[in-house]
Amino acid sequence: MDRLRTLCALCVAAAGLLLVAGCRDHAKPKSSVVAGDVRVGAVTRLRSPPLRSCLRRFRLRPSPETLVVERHGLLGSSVTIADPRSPFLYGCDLAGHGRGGRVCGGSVGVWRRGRLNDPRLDILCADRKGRRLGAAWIVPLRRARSILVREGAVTERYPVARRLPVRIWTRDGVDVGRSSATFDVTQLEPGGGRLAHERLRAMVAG
Amino acid sequence: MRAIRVDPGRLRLVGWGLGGLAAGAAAGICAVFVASAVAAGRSAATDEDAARIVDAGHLPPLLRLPGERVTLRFNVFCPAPGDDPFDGTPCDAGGDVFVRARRSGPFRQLPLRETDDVAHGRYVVDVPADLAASPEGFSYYAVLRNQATGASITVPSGGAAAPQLSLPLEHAVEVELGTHAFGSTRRADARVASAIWGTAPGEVGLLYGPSFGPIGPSAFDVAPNGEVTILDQANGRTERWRAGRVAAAVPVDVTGGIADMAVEADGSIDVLEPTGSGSAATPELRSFDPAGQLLSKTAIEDRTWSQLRRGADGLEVQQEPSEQWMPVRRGQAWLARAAQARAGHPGRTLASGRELVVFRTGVSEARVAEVAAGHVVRSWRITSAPPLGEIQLAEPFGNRVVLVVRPYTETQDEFLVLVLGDRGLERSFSVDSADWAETAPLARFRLAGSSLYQLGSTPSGMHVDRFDLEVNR
Amino acid sequence: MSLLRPRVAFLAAFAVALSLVAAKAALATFVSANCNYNAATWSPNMYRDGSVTVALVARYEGYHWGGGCWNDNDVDQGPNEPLQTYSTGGEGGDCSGLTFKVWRESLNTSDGGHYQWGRLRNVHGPYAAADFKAGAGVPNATYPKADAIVMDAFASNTHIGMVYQRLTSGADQIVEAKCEACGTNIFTRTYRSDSSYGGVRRMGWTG
Repeated sequence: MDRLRTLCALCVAAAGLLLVAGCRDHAKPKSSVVAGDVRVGAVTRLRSPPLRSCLRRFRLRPSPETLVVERHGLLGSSVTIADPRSPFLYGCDLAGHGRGGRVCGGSVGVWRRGRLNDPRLDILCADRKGRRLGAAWIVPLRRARSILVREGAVTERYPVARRLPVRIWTRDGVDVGRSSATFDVTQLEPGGGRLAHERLRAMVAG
Repeated sequence: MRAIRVDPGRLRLVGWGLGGLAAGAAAGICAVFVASAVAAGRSAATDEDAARIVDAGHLPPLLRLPGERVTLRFNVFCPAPGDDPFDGTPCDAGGDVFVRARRSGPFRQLPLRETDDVAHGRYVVDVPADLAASPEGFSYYAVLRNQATGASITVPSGGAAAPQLSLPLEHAVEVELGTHAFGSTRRADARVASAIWGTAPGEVGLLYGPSFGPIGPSAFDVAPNGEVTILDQANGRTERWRAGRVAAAVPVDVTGGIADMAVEADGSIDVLEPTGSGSAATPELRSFDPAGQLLSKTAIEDRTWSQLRRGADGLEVQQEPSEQWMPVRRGQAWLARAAQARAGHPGRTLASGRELVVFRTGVSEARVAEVAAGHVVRSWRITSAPPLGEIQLAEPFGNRVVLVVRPYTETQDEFLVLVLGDRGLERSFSVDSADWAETAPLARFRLAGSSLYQLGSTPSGMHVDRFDLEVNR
Repeated sequence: MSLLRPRVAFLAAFAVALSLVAAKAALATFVSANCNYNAATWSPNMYRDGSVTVALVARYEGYHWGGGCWNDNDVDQGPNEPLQTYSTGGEGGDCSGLTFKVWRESLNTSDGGHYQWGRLRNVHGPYAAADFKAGAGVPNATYPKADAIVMDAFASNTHIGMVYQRLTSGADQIVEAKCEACGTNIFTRTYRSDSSYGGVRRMGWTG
């Protein structure tokens, strides 16, 4: 009977461990963190080639108040354009890390009172090997200073800029057959503490 | 060491419980399976609907210039024969066109022949020269068939009772607009209504994309005294504006879709909805008393409408694919669908009893004719260098006609107001399109008295502007 | 008493299990209950009028943000969904999903071939309206609006609709998935002359 009790205890312990493991994040391999570049400014100040391409793509006539966030990251670059007079948020995606990349995708979202209607996923860009990339916006929480996106062994850090939605990228998370992508996202507060973690599933839509 | 004793009674209880769980799950799964099978069966049965699909595309040559060859072209949209009706091949279609000179007499039956020209209509018939040359024009209707299933459609839907009419323009007044200077727009004489987007009284509702652009108030109407009524369908109401202020807001039971509207002399409100009461029903006209009480719902004959206007005897709706104006109410009587079809005609009925027929043809040409008893009384042919979009408005204005057309390029568009007289263009001016929010397709302008009113919008709100036509600017 | 308790336990367990299964079934969406992820069939032909019928089947089947799956019973089996919400799993396509399927496009943006997707295949495709407007993808190209014919499209940054037939007013009949309240249908629109819209042509038609 002792054996039976030991077995029972082991079962309970195993169930407990499984429960704990199931409730928490899966064990993560160590992941190196890479920080992306970000440039923010009025449209009149940032006259970069990606921005010019993006304005052309959407036939936008910016005003002096139009705000631009340009990001250069591990998987791709992006331009986010917000105009206080317009409810629309415009984004252009450029594959690759270089600054001279070509606009390969773009998105338009409705951005009002700190809310975005949809992450506005774009999966038209591809890396050098032809693997499809996904880009989407995530709205930073009020206290968020940066956004971490985990991609296999690498985590990319996207600084929050002017409280605008942050254009993030994934390669592993893209599901072409379902026109969707999943992003492993963590929002960090100024001190580096974790504010929130989510697996964001976004669909191409609209 | 202590033995673990198991109470047989408890063991039995657990056994019954587990049995209950299993039985309940099994019963549930069976029920879901049966329900799914029934639903699938229903769905499979209704899949047959695909075989009945038949629809048509046809641009009737309403107004013809002398010497123009007349070929009637139709596209017939129906599933292809064979195992897979949606494999991308066109259907096995055919049909006949019934043509006659003038508006009376026997029809001549002409079989359609198939061509490769899907851009203009794959199925064609050449109207015999003797019929096409009739000074009073010719009338026709077509019966188009899916040969594989026998499903058919008659265009216009009234068939022999209300055939389409094609009239010759013998002495059209030529109006050549030339190039268009975008950006030289006229300022309004007055802003008679203005509201920010919102839901509060005095505000007007806005629906948003992406997936669709912004949709604001979809229609408006203006009384002879200048009182403006706006259909604020997003907020389920109409707003009456007098002297630049909201005089009344009247709740109305509308779907919230993009609708057209007309306000009658007694204040009754007619709203032409994009859909009917059922899922696959044709659109319907809802009529409300001045207090917003629903008086009636009337289905229109065709699947699609373009515009709603007050005619000489009542309300008329331009409907497709018939591409005719059909009365929906005559006097106090609402017309059933078949009665609407039997009374279809090519132009909008004017207070004088005449009809005003408009025909945008080619890329940059518009033709307009005033027609009495099937004869063209006077007509205009307007040509432009840039492409012309839709004719937003065509209304008699004294002994003249006001036309609002829309020149456009790939990146620019404006409205162009033309006042046409017997000798040609008497006056014209451009109006900013102010079309940030979508409206019903042909509901951006209304003429009341000697003023033209425009429903416009910006990211901050909507407005109605007045342009006085007797003022030279 | 000894007999009653097991019966009560059985009935209680039966009820719980039945409720759970029923709840699970009730929570099923149109997409989860009906749609599939089958492969597309390559199609040698793609005539403009042949493709119109694909849109006509989608007519009356509703609108679903990010959607691309519908049956053919002329009933929207996912009505009144919240604005721009995918997870409700309703019936119908959205504007770009409908266009992708009617235009028989590939998930591979470099592939201009013709692919027939079953109506119950839940596929939206990689393009949003703004992508179509920009002529993204090998099969798609920007095109002069004045020359647009049946099955060409007009696209803005937020919407796309396909040309069905020109009208005597100069407006067009457009077949489109417009919005939850509008559904998928043929409507009269003035996109052709609206400068926020551009012309788009699906290349590679057989005729």
